[in-house]
Amino acid sequence: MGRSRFGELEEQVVLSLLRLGGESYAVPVAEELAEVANRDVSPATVYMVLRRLEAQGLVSSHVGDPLPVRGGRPRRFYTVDREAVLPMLQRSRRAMLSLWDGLEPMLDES
Amino acid sequence: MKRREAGLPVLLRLAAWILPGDAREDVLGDLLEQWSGQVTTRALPIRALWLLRQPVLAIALRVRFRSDPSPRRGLQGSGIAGLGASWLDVKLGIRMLRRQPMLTIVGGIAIAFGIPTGLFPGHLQRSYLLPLPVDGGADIRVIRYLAPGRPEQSPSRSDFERFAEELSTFESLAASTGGGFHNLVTADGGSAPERTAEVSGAFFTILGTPAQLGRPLVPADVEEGAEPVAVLGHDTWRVRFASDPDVVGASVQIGGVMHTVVGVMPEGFRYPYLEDLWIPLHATGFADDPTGLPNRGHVVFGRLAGSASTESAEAELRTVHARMALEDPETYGGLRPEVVGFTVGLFGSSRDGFVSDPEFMVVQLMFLLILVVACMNVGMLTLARTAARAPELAVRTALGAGRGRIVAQLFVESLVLAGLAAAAGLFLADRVALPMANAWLFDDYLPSWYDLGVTGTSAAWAVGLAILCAAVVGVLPALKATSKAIHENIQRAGASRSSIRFGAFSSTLLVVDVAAAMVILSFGAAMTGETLHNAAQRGGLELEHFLYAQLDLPRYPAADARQTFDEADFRRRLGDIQQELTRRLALEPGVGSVAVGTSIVLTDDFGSALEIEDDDAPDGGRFVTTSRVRVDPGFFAALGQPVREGRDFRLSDAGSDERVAIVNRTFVDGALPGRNVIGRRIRFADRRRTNAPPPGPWHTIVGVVDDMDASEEPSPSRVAYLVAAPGEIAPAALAIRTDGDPEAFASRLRELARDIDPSATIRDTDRLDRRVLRGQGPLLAGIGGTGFLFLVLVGLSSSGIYALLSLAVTQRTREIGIRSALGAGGGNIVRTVVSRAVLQLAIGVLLGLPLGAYGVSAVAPSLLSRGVAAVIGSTVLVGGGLMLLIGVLACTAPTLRALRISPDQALREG
Repeated sequence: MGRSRFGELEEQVVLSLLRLGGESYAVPVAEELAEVANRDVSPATVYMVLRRLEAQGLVSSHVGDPLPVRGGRPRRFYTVDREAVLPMLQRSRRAMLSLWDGLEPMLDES
Repeated sequence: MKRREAGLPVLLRLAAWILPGDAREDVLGDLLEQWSGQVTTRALPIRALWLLRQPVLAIALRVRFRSDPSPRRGLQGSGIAGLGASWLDVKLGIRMLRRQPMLTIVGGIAIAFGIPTGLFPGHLQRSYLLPLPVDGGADIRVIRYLAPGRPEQSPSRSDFERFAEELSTFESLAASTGGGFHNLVTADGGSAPERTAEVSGAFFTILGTPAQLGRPLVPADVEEGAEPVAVLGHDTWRVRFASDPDVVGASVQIGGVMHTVVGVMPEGFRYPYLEDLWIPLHATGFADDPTGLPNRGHVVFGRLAGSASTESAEAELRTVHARMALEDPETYGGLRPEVVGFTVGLFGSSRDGFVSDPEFMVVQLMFLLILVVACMNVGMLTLARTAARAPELAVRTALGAGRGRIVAQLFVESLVLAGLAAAAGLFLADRVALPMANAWLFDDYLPSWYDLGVTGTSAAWAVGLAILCAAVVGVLPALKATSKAIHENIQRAGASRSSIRFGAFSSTLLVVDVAAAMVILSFGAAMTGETLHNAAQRGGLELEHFLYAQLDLPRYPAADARQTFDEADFRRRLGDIQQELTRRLALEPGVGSVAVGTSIVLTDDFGSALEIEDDDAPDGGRFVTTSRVRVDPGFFAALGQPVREGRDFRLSDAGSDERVAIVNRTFVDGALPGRNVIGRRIRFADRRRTNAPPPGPWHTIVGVVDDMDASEEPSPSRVAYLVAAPGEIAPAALAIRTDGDPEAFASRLRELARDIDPSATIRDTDRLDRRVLRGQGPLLAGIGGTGFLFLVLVGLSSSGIYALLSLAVTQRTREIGIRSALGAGGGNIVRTVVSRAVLQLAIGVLLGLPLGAYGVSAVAPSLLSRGVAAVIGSTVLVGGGLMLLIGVLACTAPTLRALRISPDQALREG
């Protein structure tokens, strides 16, 4: 799709999705973000991010079975396209680590 | 509580609805899952915040991801936003407001008036059901009895005591009188009547408002043998005691009995109605029999216990009442107890306000019709504007904008206008119109705590109506403008022509609009004619020489230990005071005659069914609605009103077994036209209703007087004057003729009354002509307001007609050019163009005239048979003529313009 980088939230959503086994839907992703990244995000936001990623071909979706608790509404499951996503994540991680290189002592000082 | 839970997901639905159509179901599912899975376990404030956050977040997401293609449905979204409408359209809409100032002003005024007007009846109904503005006001309920064919009744003293003891669904119960006056005499001797409520022990506890100074009344104050105490209202304290901070402990005389002031209530606390002085309600404050008359107008109310609802309270009340009916079927068998909201209980309407009245629906529809007419005319103006923008729209189409996109753009533009106008209208309604209505229309009627201001619900309705207006005003013309195929629109735009053709569509619009304007004019003229007619009726009475006042006596003397109300004793006391006062007035220098009646010139009575003995009628009698005014024998002579036929009342008529009546001219003209009424018998009776009160005694008509009422009824009332002995009229309206300034005599009148009996109250003193004018204030304000509204609507109709006709003719420039090139004369062409418009307008006028006449005759049948018909006729004819003139002007100007350019140029341009 011509994109080589994620936005911050996009990256966190993709990472959460991967932590959840590479396939999940918006609610567990939001919960994972809250639990691990301490980021309070609404499922609607996660959903809109996943939708954008889907339009870019980075994830794909299918409709799963509804849960009784959802009032019969179906869940849309998203699956990470690892081939497309992993190189981007790798680049991102590398860039981040390079930027941090030599700056860690500063954190200790503070 | 259940209802609250059920309402919560609405916010989630709203949040999902804001998002693109293909995302809604999925997101709603996600949100509901998170809501029911995690959020519901959190504390209430967290839950509420989470819920409120979702729609806001959805809007932010919608804006943030607006350019994102949907992964599943390509470019097609749904709703207006799905059509690509954006902030750019809003900006464009604001720019159009500036570029088209006339449309902005005319359309804005129309919608700003139309929306609050359309909402007014519903708003009034909703404000009726609002809780009291006190702490926990939503839990306060009134207990009352309903009985078939009778007004609502309040529980009696023993009922109140039993309910207070047995009902567990109420925390506590209180009772209060309302609407009464007692003379308050201060230490310096100043005496004036104050609105006084006699209240039971729990009154102040239930209303939950602490005193500003001292303390409110407590149950111990109401116990028998307790020292008489009083609580002052803020205004009474400010005006009568100069806001004295040491007023607590002062001794005052209330209704002839010494009371100790124990507290002052804060500003705005005027319960149950408009009272400003509270004294303990003693045993005599209740009727012993709930079916007994007179109804003192007391109210029994309480605060619902924690988990109780109106339904559970009423269920428990019915159980207790069923036991009472078993014990005493005669008293309680025919009564049905009810638990209702405070305002409903106080005003005595059905439990859901007046929404179930068929009349309410008619009024609501009439008010909405005004909005519809306003929208239709703004729509005509927008149509003309849209036609002028044909080239722009065609270019946009050529650049790839779909029909939906263009319609959405025009809708958003109209929404900007309608939204701003609605906001301005609501603001003006809240700050200007409703306070004016409250002060002018409802003065002395609405309690001070009754909040008529714009509420959230009304504002939400206004938003809905603004969207609807924008749809009518923007979408319909837009659909019309884009109805042709793309290539045709572009072709026409190339030739600078609009794709809107004004054939049957514009003709229908014109005819409907003119007809509607005629109907509106008829109503406007009917209301104005009515006022003029009423004003003409009062000629001959020199009202400015009279002092008006009301003489009354508290039915239940303050702190009176007597257990029962003695009607005969009350009448005798009041009669003695009235007679003595009249005697002393006759001795006063500069005072002329005194007229005493239930009313003087104003008729407050809405009328009752009156039976006229008539041998020609099929069942020996006919029934007409007639107002009843009871007067003393010297009433007409004192007012200088001659009796035209028959004779005046005599002193011997009062109290005589041979009952006599005098009727007014309207009664004769309306009920027995052209027949001799003297000697005919009448009685107040209603045979048509079941459960009606028994018929009154027969009265013989002995005289006829000219009309002299200026009632607030839509037409002058039929009035039957019955003679009354002193004491039979309570309160007694007095009209005292004075040589000098009548108002200067008011204080002397109070002195005279106080000397006779300290508890006798003299209030509402005013010069009679001012009193009449004030009484007519609501009517005049109503006529002024609606007259202005009618003018706005008719002006709007005129501008709509002008815009549409002038555009239709401009579009015929090419045709006019061809005809001119073929040798047709200018005059001939103008005649042809104008005659078509005149024909359309004339059809509208001819359709509107009978519709207007039918409407007026249906709403106020008596109007057309009187002098008002001429006013309506002439106004409507002038209005119709004006419409035709506007039509001629609208056609002539563009036709002459078309004729001025050369035929070949016209052919090129047209």
